[in-house]
Amino acid sequence: MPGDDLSALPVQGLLDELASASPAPAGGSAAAVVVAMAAALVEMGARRSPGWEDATGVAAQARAIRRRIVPLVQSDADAYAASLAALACIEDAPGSGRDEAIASALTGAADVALAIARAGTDTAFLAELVADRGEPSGRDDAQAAAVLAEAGTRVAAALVTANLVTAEGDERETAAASFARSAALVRSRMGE
Amino acid sequence: MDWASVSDAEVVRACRAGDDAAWRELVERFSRYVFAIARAHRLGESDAEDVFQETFARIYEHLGRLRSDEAVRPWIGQLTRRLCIDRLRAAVRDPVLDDAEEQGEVDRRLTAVDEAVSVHEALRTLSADCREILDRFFCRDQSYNTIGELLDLPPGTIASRISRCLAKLRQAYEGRSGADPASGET
Amino acid sequence: MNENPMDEVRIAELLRELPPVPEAWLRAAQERPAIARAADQILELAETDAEFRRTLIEDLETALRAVGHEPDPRLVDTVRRRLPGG
Repeated sequence: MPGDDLSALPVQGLLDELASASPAPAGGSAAAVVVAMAAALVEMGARRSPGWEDATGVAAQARAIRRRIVPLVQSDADAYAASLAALACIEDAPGSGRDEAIASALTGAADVALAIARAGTDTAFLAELVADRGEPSGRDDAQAAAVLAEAGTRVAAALVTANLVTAEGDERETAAASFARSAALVRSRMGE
Repeated sequence: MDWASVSDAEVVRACRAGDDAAWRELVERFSRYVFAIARAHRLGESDAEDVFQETFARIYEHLGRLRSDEAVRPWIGQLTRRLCIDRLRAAVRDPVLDDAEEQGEVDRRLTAVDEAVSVHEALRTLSADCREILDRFFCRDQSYNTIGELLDLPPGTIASRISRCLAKLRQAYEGRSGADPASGET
Repeated sequence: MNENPMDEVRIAELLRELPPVPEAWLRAAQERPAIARAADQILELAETDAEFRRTLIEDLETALRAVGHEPDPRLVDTVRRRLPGG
């Protein structure tokens, strides 16, 4: 429904929003949802591992990561919409103030995408921990979590790069690439 | 000085005696509580900052008149709530607080804040290392990367350490609240 | 696993309810005693020095600078509030 926070929508509603002709929400919001699902799977794997001393603590950490990332589903859509609105101003009003507004809008979108990538990497780390130390029966879901976390991280890292295309050498691009590499390494350690 | 083991009442007494370090500790100790109450009332950042500073200005002014040093926290809580309500009433003609449902929501959030205060009081009894790692991950939302760089530890180790510290925090909390660990009642 | 409502998951959620305040807010509140002492000094001087008191009332910022204090907004506000008739 118009005006609803994306994260408050039922699955069908969120999918309808993503599928709509409106440019936002888009890949960043989808990445945030995917990482949130991965974190939820990690929490499940920990909760289903009663014999593991650290299980509840890991579940708490997965829950905390989920809490961090869920607001980013809407934040990414907002930041993307703001950047599109700023870019549209190029046609209307040439001048140096517009360049600053565009840079500012894109940098906001880059920050949100970086936060998604960061959370995705943390989720991948936890997924590996659950796979290694949790109940063996939960290993498949922990691997699924790692795959989803890596996917979300890669999408978010690519968005960081796209939003910083005019900001050569920005350290956020380096950080995003590092997050994507870390998540990929976790997944490759855990096997396909 | 390690203020972690100093009671609220002792900090108040030291403040009254003119100890600037005690005042800094008092502000540090209650800052999150005041901020959380402002957030529970859904104040914007600018209003929350004003309420924050005004709260501590009044605390400083009236600390000498506090009837019971042990009750400093509820006194600060009441003061902050009053300032939040004044701020909300001044902002709009028909303040949301007249809405019973919104008031109920504020009360629910304030209950959560009070519960959180008890947990943070238990946190003060843990080692500095545990306090730091739990604060960084859960309160400051820092990543394993960031914490790892600061503590020079890999992510897996950080996650395990957080789990162990969290378990100690739960035990400390149960000890303070008089909960029976076996039954889990609080 | 302990399914106690106050297990580690719940404890962690409650930890999160009290995030830290912005550092600048904290520092500003912690400096209050120093501000109060500076205000005490200034007002004491105003009691004994009529010329200074006049300047303080007419142009507070200039008066503060004249006695070596930067007109920090909190100091200005504190002095103004405590000035008789201010």
